Amino acid sequence: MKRKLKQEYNTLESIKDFLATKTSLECFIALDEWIFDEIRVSRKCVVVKKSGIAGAKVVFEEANIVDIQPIAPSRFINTLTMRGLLAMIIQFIISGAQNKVAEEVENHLLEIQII
Amino acid sequence: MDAIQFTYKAKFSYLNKFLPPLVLGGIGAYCYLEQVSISIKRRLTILPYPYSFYVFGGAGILLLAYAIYKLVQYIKASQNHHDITLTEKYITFPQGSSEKVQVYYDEVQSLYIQEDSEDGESITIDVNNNSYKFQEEYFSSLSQYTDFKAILEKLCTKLTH
Repeated sequence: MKRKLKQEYNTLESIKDFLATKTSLECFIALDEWIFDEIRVSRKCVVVKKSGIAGAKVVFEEANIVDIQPIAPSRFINTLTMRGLLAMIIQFIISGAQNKVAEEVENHLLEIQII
Repeated sequence: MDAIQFTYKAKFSYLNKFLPPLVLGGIGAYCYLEQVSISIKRRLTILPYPYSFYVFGGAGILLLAYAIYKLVQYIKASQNHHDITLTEKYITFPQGSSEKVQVYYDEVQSLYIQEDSEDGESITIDVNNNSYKFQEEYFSSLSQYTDFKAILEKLCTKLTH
Protein backbone atom coordinates (compact mmCIF):
# COMPACT_ATOMS: atom_id res chain seq x y z
CA MET A 1 0.00 0.00 0.00
CA LYS A 2 1.36 3.39 -0.97
CA ARG A 3 1.63 6.30 1.44
CA LYS A 4 3.03 9.81 1.08
CA LEU A 5 5.15 10.64 4.12
CA LYS A 6 6.22 13.96 5.61
CA GLN A 7 9.31 15.56 4.15
CA GLU A 8 11.51 14.73 7.16
CA TYR A 9 10.94 11.01 6.53
CA ASN A 10 12.51 10.90 3.09
CA THR A 11 15.25 8.42 3.96
CA LEU A 12 15.14 4.74 4.87
CA GLU A 13 17.10 5.47 8.06
CA SER A 14 14.50 7.96 9.33
CA ILE A 15 11.67 5.50 8.59
CA LYS A 16 13.54 2.67 10.28
CA ASP A 17 14.19 4.84 13.36
CA PHE A 18 10.54 5.88 13.48
CA LEU A 19 9.27 2.30 13.19
CA ALA A 20 11.75 1.14 15.84
CA THR A 21 10.13 3.55 18.31
CA LYS A 22 6.65 2.27 17.47
CA THR A 23 7.01 -1.50 17.31
CA SER A 24 8.82 -4.19 19.25
CA LEU A 25 9.45 -6.10 16.02
CA GLU A 26 12.92 -6.22 14.51
CA CYS A 27 13.58 -3.38 12.01
CA PHE A 28 16.55 -3.23 9.68
CA ILE A 29 17.64 -1.95 6.27
CA ALA A 30 18.45 -4.59 3.66
CA LEU A 31 18.79 -5.03 -0.07
CA ASP A 32 15.35 -5.58 -1.56
CA GLU A 33 15.31 -9.29 -2.41
CA TRP A 34 11.52 -9.45 -2.47
CA ILE A 35 11.02 -8.06 -5.96
CA PHE A 36 7.79 -9.17 -7.55
CA ASP A 37 8.37 -7.75 -11.03
CA GLU A 38 11.84 -8.74 -12.10
CA ILE A 39 12.47 -5.69 -14.27
CA ARG A 40 13.30 -3.43 -11.32
CA VAL A 41 16.87 -3.00 -10.24
CA SER A 42 17.46 -4.20 -6.70
CA ARG A 43 17.49 -1.41 -4.13
CA LYS A 44 17.38 -1.06 -0.37
CA CYS A 45 14.30 -1.26 1.81
CA VAL A 46 13.29 -1.25 5.47
CA VAL A 47 12.37 -4.75 6.66
CA VAL A 48 10.12 -5.26 9.67
CA LYS A 49 10.51 -8.85 10.78
CA LYS A 50 8.14 -10.74 13.04
CA SER A 51 9.38 -14.20 12.11
CA GLY A 52 10.96 -16.01 9.17
CA ILE A 53 7.59 -16.25 7.43
CA ALA A 54 5.91 -13.00 8.47
CA GLY A 55 7.23 -9.53 7.84
CA ALA A 56 6.83 -6.39 5.78
CA LYS A 57 9.08 -4.21 3.67
CA VAL A 58 8.92 -0.46 3.15
CA VAL A 59 10.40 0.71 -0.14
CA PHE A 60 10.53 4.16 -1.76
CA GLU A 61 8.46 4.55 -4.93
CA GLU A 62 9.11 8.28 -5.32
CA ALA A 63 10.82 11.01 -3.28
CA ASN A 64 8.56 10.75 -0.23
CA ILE A 65 6.10 8.05 -1.32
CA VAL A 66 6.62 4.60 0.15
CA ASP A 67 5.12 1.25 -0.68
CA ILE A 68 4.44 -1.22 2.13
CA GLN A 69 4.42 -4.86 1.07
CA PRO A 70 3.97 -8.11 3.01
CA ILE A 71 7.01 -10.40 2.68
CA ALA A 72 8.62 -13.54 4.06
CA PRO A 73 11.88 -12.22 5.59
CA SER A 74 13.55 -15.65 5.44
CA ARG A 75 15.42 -16.10 2.16
CA PHE A 76 14.61 -19.82 2.19
CA ILE A 77 10.85 -19.28 2.64
CA ASN A 78 10.92 -16.44 0.10
CA THR A 79 12.51 -18.73 -2.50
CA LEU A 80 9.89 -21.38 -1.74
CA THR A 81 7.09 -18.92 -2.51
CA MET A 82 8.48 -17.80 -5.87
CA ARG A 83 7.10 -20.26 -8.42
CA GLY A 84 4.96 -23.31 -8.91
CA LEU A 85 1.96 -24.93 -7.28
CA LEU A 86 3.78 -25.55 -3.98
CA ALA A 87 4.70 -21.86 -3.86
CA MET A 88 1.04 -20.89 -4.27
CA ILE A 89 -0.02 -23.24 -1.46
CA ILE A 90 2.70 -21.97 0.91
CA GLN A 91 1.90 -18.36 0.01
CA PHE A 92 -1.79 -18.99 0.70
CA ILE A 93 -0.98 -20.43 4.14
CA ILE A 94 1.41 -17.70 5.28
CA SER A 95 -0.11 -14.63 3.61
CA GLY A 96 -2.47 -13.93 6.54
CA ALA A 97 0.40 -13.47 9.02
CA GLN A 98 2.35 -11.36 6.51
CA ASN A 99 -0.64 -9.09 5.83
CA LYS A 100 -1.08 -8.51 9.58
CA VAL A 101 2.51 -7.25 9.88
CA ALA A 102 2.10 -5.06 6.76
CA GLU A 103 -1.13 -3.62 8.20
CA GLU A 104 0.60 -2.88 11.51
CA VAL A 105 3.45 -1.11 9.72
CA GLU A 106 1.01 0.86 7.57
CA ASN A 107 -0.97 1.94 10.65
CA HIS A 108 2.24 3.25 12.22
CA LEU A 109 3.17 5.10 9.04
CA LEU A 110 -0.27 6.76 8.95
CA GLU A 111 0.98 8.91 11.83
CA ILE A 112 3.64 10.47 9.61
CA GLN A 113 1.79 10.66 6.31
CA ILE A 114 0.89 13.94 4.62
CA ILE A 115 -2.82 14.71 4.50
CA MET B 1 -11.57 23.32 2.75
CA ASP B 2 -11.23 24.49 -0.85
CA ALA B 3 -12.23 22.12 -3.62
CA ILE B 4 -9.33 19.90 -4.69
CA GLN B 5 -9.19 18.53 -8.22
CA PHE B 6 -7.50 15.35 -9.40
CA THR B 7 -6.98 14.42 -13.03
CA TYR B 8 -8.46 10.97 -13.59
CA LYS B 9 -8.32 9.43 -17.07
CA ALA B 10 -8.85 5.81 -18.09
CA LYS B 11 -5.88 4.05 -19.67
CA PHE B 12 -5.76 1.05 -21.97
CA SER B 13 -2.86 -1.12 -23.06
CA TYR B 14 -3.56 -2.79 -26.42
CA LEU B 15 -0.52 -5.03 -26.02
CA ASN B 16 -1.50 -6.35 -22.57
CA LYS B 17 -5.11 -6.96 -23.50
CA PHE B 18 -4.88 -8.23 -27.08
CA LEU B 19 -1.61 -10.18 -27.08
CA PRO B 20 -2.80 -13.11 -24.86
CA PRO B 21 -5.93 -13.87 -26.99
CA LEU B 22 -3.84 -13.60 -30.17
CA VAL B 23 -1.23 -16.03 -28.82
CA LEU B 24 -3.85 -18.52 -27.59
CA GLY B 25 -5.81 -18.13 -30.82
CA GLY B 26 -2.62 -18.75 -32.79
CA ILE B 27 -1.89 -21.94 -30.83
CA GLY B 28 -5.53 -23.01 -31.32
CA ALA B 29 -5.30 -22.40 -35.08
CA TYR B 30 -2.04 -24.34 -35.26
CA CYS B 31 -3.63 -27.26 -33.36
CA TYR B 32 -6.54 -27.22 -35.85
CA LEU B 33 -4.46 -26.95 -39.03
CA GLU B 34 -1.80 -29.50 -38.05
CA GLN B 35 -4.09 -31.67 -35.88
CA VAL B 36 -1.65 -31.36 -33.00
CA SER B 37 -2.08 -33.01 -29.60
CA ILE B 38 -0.47 -31.50 -26.52
CA SER B 39 1.80 -33.97 -24.76
CA ILE B 40 4.66 -34.04 -22.29
CA LYS B 41 7.92 -35.52 -23.66
CA ARG B 42 5.91 -37.23 -26.48
CA ARG B 43 4.70 -39.92 -24.08
CA LEU B 44 1.98 -38.53 -21.89
CA THR B 45 -0.74 -36.91 -24.00
CA ILE B 46 -2.62 -34.40 -21.90
CA LEU B 47 -4.75 -32.84 -24.64
CA PRO B 48 -5.47 -35.01 -27.69
CA TYR B 49 -6.72 -33.43 -30.92
CA PRO B 50 -9.44 -32.01 -31.27
CA TYR B 51 -9.59 -31.07 -27.54
CA SER B 52 -6.31 -29.14 -27.89
CA PHE B 53 -8.02 -26.96 -30.52
CA TYR B 54 -11.18 -26.58 -28.39
CA VAL B 55 -9.27 -25.57 -25.23
CA PHE B 56 -6.87 -23.08 -26.83
CA GLY B 57 -9.43 -21.73 -29.28
CA GLY B 58 -12.05 -21.36 -26.52
CA ALA B 59 -9.61 -19.65 -24.16
CA GLY B 60 -8.54 -17.33 -27.00
CA ILE B 61 -12.15 -16.38 -27.77
CA LEU B 62 -12.93 -15.75 -24.08
CA LEU B 63 -9.86 -13.52 -23.67
CA LEU B 64 -10.68 -11.70 -26.91
CA ALA B 65 -14.22 -11.03 -25.66
CA TYR B 66 -12.79 -9.71 -22.39
CA ALA B 67 -10.31 -7.47 -24.26
CA ILE B 68 -13.12 -6.06 -26.45
CA TYR B 69 -15.28 -5.46 -23.35
CA LYS B 70 -12.40 -3.56 -21.72
CA LEU B 71 -11.79 -1.59 -24.93
CA VAL B 72 -15.45 -0.52 -25.10
CA GLN B 73 -15.28 0.54 -21.43
CA TYR B 74 -12.12 2.52 -22.16
CA ILE B 75 -13.65 4.28 -25.20
CA LYS B 76 -16.69 5.26 -23.10
CA ALA B 77 -14.56 6.46 -20.20
CA SER B 78 -12.20 8.46 -22.43
CA GLN B 79 -15.18 10.45 -23.78
CA ASN B 80 -15.87 11.65 -20.23
CA HIS B 81 -13.88 14.83 -19.57
CA HIS B 82 -14.79 15.29 -15.91
CA ASP B 83 -12.14 15.14 -13.19
CA ILE B 84 -12.41 14.04 -9.56
CA THR B 85 -13.26 16.91 -7.23
CA LEU B 86 -13.13 16.71 -3.45
CA THR B 87 -14.98 19.37 -1.47
CA GLU B 88 -15.70 19.64 2.23
CA LYS B 89 -18.92 17.62 2.06
CA TYR B 90 -18.91 15.59 -1.13
CA ILE B 91 -16.87 14.07 -3.93
CA THR B 92 -17.68 14.21 -7.64
CA PHE B 93 -16.12 11.86 -10.15
CA PRO B 94 -16.58 10.74 -13.79
CA GLN B 95 -18.79 7.75 -14.50
CA GLY B 96 -19.58 6.20 -17.89
CA SER B 97 -19.23 8.29 -21.07
CA SER B 98 -20.56 11.64 -19.86
CA GLU B 99 -21.98 11.33 -16.35
CA LYS B 100 -20.65 12.97 -13.22
CA VAL B 101 -21.52 11.27 -9.94
CA GLN B 102 -21.77 13.17 -6.68
CA VAL B 103 -21.43 11.31 -3.39
CA TYR B 104 -21.64 12.81 0.10
CA TYR B 105 -19.02 11.45 2.49
CA ASP B 106 -21.77 10.64 5.01
CA GLU B 107 -23.29 8.21 2.49
CA VAL B 108 -20.10 6.17 2.13
CA GLN B 109 -20.69 2.88 3.95
CA SER B 110 -17.32 1.26 3.40
CA LEU B 111 -13.94 2.13 1.95
CA TYR B 112 -11.33 -0.48 1.22
CA ILE B 113 -8.02 -0.55 -0.59
CA GLN B 114 -7.04 -3.47 -2.78
CA GLU B 115 -3.81 -4.33 -4.52
CA ASP B 116 -3.59 -6.23 -7.76
CA SER B 117 -0.36 -7.37 -9.38
CA GLU B 118 -1.61 -6.28 -12.84
CA ASP B 119 -3.76 -3.20 -12.21
CA GLY B 120 -1.93 -1.85 -9.14
CA GLU B 121 -3.65 -0.35 -6.15
CA SER B 122 -7.29 0.71 -6.13
CA ILE B 123 -9.77 2.28 -3.70
CA THR B 124 -13.36 1.05 -3.63
CA ILE B 125 -16.20 2.87 -1.89
CA ASP B 126 -19.65 1.42 -1.29
CA VAL B 127 -22.52 3.90 -1.41
CA ASN B 128 -26.20 2.85 -1.19
CA ASN B 129 -25.72 -0.53 -2.90
CA ASN B 130 -23.41 0.99 -5.53
CA SER B 131 -19.70 0.37 -5.67
CA TYR B 132 -17.20 2.85 -7.17
CA LYS B 133 -13.59 2.01 -7.86
CA PHE B 134 -10.69 4.46 -8.23
CA GLN B 135 -7.59 2.96 -9.80
CA GLU B 136 -4.11 4.23 -9.06
CA GLU B 137 -2.97 3.96 -12.68
CA TYR B 138 -5.74 6.31 -13.87
CA PHE B 139 -4.40 9.23 -11.81
CA SER B 140 -1.94 11.56 -13.49
CA SER B 141 0.77 10.77 -10.91
CA LEU B 142 1.43 8.56 -7.91
CA SER B 143 1.61 11.69 -5.76
CA GLN B 144 -1.94 12.66 -6.80
CA TYR B 145 -3.19 9.18 -6.00
CA THR B 146 -1.64 9.10 -2.50
CA ASP B 147 -3.02 12.59 -1.76
CA PHE B 148 -6.48 11.51 -2.94
CA LYS B 149 -6.36 8.36 -0.81
CA ALA B 150 -5.25 10.19 2.35
CA ILE B 151 -7.90 12.92 1.99
CA LEU B 152 -10.70 10.46 1.18
CA GLU B 153 -9.81 8.30 4.20
CA LYS B 154 -9.84 11.40 6.39
CA LEU B 155 -13.19 12.68 5.11
CA CYS B 156 -15.15 9.40 5.07
CA THR B 157 -15.75 9.23 8.79
CA LYS B 158 -19.11 7.46 8.93
CA LEU B 159 -18.05 4.06 7.66
CA THR B 160 -20.22 1.20 8.89
CA HIS B 161 -17.77 -1.57 7.94
